[in-house]
Amino acid sequence: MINLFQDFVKKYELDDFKKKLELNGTTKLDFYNELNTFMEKICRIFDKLTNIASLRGGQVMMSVAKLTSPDAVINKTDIKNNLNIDRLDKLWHAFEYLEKENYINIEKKTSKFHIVKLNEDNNPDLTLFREIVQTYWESPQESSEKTKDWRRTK
Amino acid sequence: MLTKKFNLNFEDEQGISNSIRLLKSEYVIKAIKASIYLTIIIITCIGYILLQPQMTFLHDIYITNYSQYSFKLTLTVGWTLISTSIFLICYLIKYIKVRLTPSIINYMKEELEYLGYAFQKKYSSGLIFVLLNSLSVILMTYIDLEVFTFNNIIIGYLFLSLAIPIIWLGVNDKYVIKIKENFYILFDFHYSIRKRHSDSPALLGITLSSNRLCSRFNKPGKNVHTRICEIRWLPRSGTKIQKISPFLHFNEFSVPLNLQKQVLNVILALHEWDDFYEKELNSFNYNISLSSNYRNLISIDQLSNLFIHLFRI
Repeated sequence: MINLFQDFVKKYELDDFKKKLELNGTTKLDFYNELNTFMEKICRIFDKLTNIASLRGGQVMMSVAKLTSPDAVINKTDIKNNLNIDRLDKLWHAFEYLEKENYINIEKKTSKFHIVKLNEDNNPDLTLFREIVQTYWESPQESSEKTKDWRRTK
Repeated sequence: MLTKKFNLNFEDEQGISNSIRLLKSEYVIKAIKASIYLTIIIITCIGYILLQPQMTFLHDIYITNYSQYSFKLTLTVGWTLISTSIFLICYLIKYIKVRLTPSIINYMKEELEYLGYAFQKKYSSGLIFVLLNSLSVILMTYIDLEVFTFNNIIIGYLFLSLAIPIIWLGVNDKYVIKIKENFYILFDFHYSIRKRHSDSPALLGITLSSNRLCSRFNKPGKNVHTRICEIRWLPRSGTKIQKISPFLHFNEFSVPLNLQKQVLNVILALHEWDDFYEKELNSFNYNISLSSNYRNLISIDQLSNLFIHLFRI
């Protein structure tokens, strides 16, 4: 198994511009699987890093990214549920910090209904972040459901 | 001034600072109480040993039966006092060492109840001590009544009746969540009150360790364990006892803020273990049977060659 990106480049000779990259059959499948594994690992790094910080900001960012879709309206309670957190007040400081630092936009429709969006306009890299998180990240809510299902078996 | 109703909050700096202050004050009260009890017990014990010859009222407890025979209960009283004191001393030392306070227990209960798990104490070493020691007290009474005399078996039992609860106290008296049959997670708390930066959230650490998975020398088990640890970023070394233990466990370190997430990580690791271990074991056994069949084939082949060679001669 390849662990370094450099090894991956070397294996498929991606930095050798004289040679053509020919992928067919099993080679293409291997190439795709290895790329997928890299993305999974990057996502796992995001997850672990956001868990060691003293605020929950990173996890909130991941949750907003996970829930974002063209026709979805995400509010703070959706994020609280997605992160499997019992009280919304645990996320206040994270929302405040992320809004202040321009990572998210919060639109206050009413006093209780606040729509949250990822600020991709000011941070273009967040588009790739969203794509990786949506594809590879398992939210705490999903993990919790998984454990509940397992407990019920046998 | 912090009130007792204050809930622990590790979400912001002010909350962390208040929570750590509350934990410290609770811990100091707990340690002072335990030290007072400890001192009383030690003084009683030393007093008993020093003043034993003069304390005739303790030795002159007589059991009188219908035939008017009377017996002294010196050994029974002495053993009960000394064994209970030794156990209580160990219990109180452990109680001071474990940095659990009512607030943190409540906090953990709430956090884990939200995940759907009950936070409970695993084993009571006190109960084991009472059970084993009541038998020792009965034995001592019989020795006092001169029904038995001291022999190696009785001395061995007396030693074990004290040693087992103390070892149990050190190793197993922990908080636990039961996930399903044969799967549970143990909680160990670390909290340094001496550190200067009292508002650091990492001051309060919680080590999570799973139940025994399999023997350390079980190859398929070790493969699955390594794979799951790598994927889930679980530390492989574990606690000091686990380092020398011949069994494999899953371990994880957590702080109050990420407790739910880390507990979920260990539960999912156990879930994966439950899924993969049997498959790995089956494929390992299948490979072994294949290789042994292959070995048999070779030996039959060699035998036939030998016969051919013999017939040629």
